[in-house]
Amino acid sequence: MYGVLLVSGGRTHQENYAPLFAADKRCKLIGVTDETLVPPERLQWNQRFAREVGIPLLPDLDAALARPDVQIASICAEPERRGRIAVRVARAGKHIYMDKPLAASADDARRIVAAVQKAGVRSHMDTMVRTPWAEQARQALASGRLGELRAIHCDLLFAKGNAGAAPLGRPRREKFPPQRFTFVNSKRELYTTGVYSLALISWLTNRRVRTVRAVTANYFFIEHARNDVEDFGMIAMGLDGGITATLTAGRIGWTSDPMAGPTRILLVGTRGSLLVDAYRPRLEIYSDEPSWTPPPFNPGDPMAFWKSGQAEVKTRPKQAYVLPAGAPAAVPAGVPSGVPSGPEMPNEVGYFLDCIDQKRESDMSAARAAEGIEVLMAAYQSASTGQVVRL
Amino acid sequence: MSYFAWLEKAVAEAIAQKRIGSPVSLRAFFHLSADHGVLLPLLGEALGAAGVWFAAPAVRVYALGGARDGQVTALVEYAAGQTALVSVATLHDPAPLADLLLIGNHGTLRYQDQPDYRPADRANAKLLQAIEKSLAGQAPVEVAP
Repeated sequence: MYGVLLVSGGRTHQENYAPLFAADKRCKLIGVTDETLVPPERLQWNQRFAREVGIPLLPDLDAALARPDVQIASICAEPERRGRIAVRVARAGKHIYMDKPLAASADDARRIVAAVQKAGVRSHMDTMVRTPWAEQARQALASGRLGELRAIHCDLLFAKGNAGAAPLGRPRREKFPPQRFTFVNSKRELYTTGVYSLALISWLTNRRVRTVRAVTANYFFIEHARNDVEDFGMIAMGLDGGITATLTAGRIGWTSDPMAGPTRILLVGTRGSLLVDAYRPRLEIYSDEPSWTPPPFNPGDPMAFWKSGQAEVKTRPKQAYVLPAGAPAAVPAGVPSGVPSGPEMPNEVGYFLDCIDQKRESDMSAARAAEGIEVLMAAYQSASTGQVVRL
Repeated sequence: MSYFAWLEKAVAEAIAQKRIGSPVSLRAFFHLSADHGVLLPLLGEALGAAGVWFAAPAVRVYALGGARDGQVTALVEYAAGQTALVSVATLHDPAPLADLLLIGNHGTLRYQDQPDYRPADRANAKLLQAIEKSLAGQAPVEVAP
């Protein structure tokens, strides 16, 4: 039995991960913990989450990590705090389940990797690589029917938030290095959304990124513009072997998509190409049912980042597409709870527990996740200079 | 009327109706011909059309891949802050692919087609030159005004 410590609670993706740990017969939730000097709001969300889950709040991170009944820590602290927390967790000899992205800087990411390697613990970052559509792409590549891979293009855009208020007409002036990633009402979207596609590209190709050119933009939300964080970004990369990789990432507004937002991979090989769409195959239903409408504005979570925030304003599911049971593609984990879940929701927690059981490395370990952070930081540097960054 | 001339006009008319607000970014894929020689002109046509939709000229191009490689991608910035990421590749499969996601600040316009594409000599010469220069230099290139 693995004792699982939850680092940070409500208003984080712990709302998604904790139920998966709780549902696995191999696990027991031990408590919610965090750094001792967290802001009062974070403490309140941690207290509330502990109450809701029915486990104790353990106010001192180091004391909680010292407990012999803890073997795994699920870390969902804000990205700026993840580096130092993950290092403490690894040094305490606990396995690490990490929310994405891994860290807020390449240095933090490297420190996590070093600590994990030194401690000999398992690590895993939550991504979308266990989705059926990612697996479909992997199998297509493995089959060889596309020939040699020449390009991979990923789109992941979240159809959430009330778009249209950002001032347009001039390019965003990016600053490097980025200082802050998350606010109550906005996040750096290239960082928080682009990380999924970077993980997919790394996982599918097993190639390192060598060149990075990126742009960031403020197209949709006044909240992002006021906090000087982008709501949209694009990256064009050169991988080892001359492979081209690109991605688009961002948050583009509630009504911009019939479902959760464009989610797809285009593989281009020397003998053929394949477009994998998370929402295909699908049934499309148009009827006299009431049309979907965005939820009321929620000042506590205006961009619908969190499951709890969406529940507070009773966000209705979008139902235009139905993904038939057993279909090879399904809605990925991490997309808003306002969309229906596919029948084959990926369970990265189960995969990670298998890795620990079988004493093997995760295919989305801290080391691989750190490569993504390096690329993201290069992307911000490129966006700030207008030049290609070579890794 | 050539395929791209038609597409450019059709999308421009939809934009004029303001249903997606102001167009801000384009993501597009075109796999329309087995002829490697068509790739760069095709990319030039697509990026030129994007400039019409954005009502702004391209100011910086970064291109990756190559015609000989059978795939080229360009990341392009336009004068008023709009962006485009357009990829072209040689056609191997029986069905061609034209896939366009035009993102506006109030919505999106999608277009998917499997056209019988016939190249037309419409590519903007300055854009084409910038694409070729970026591919050769492996660096972003300013587009001549």
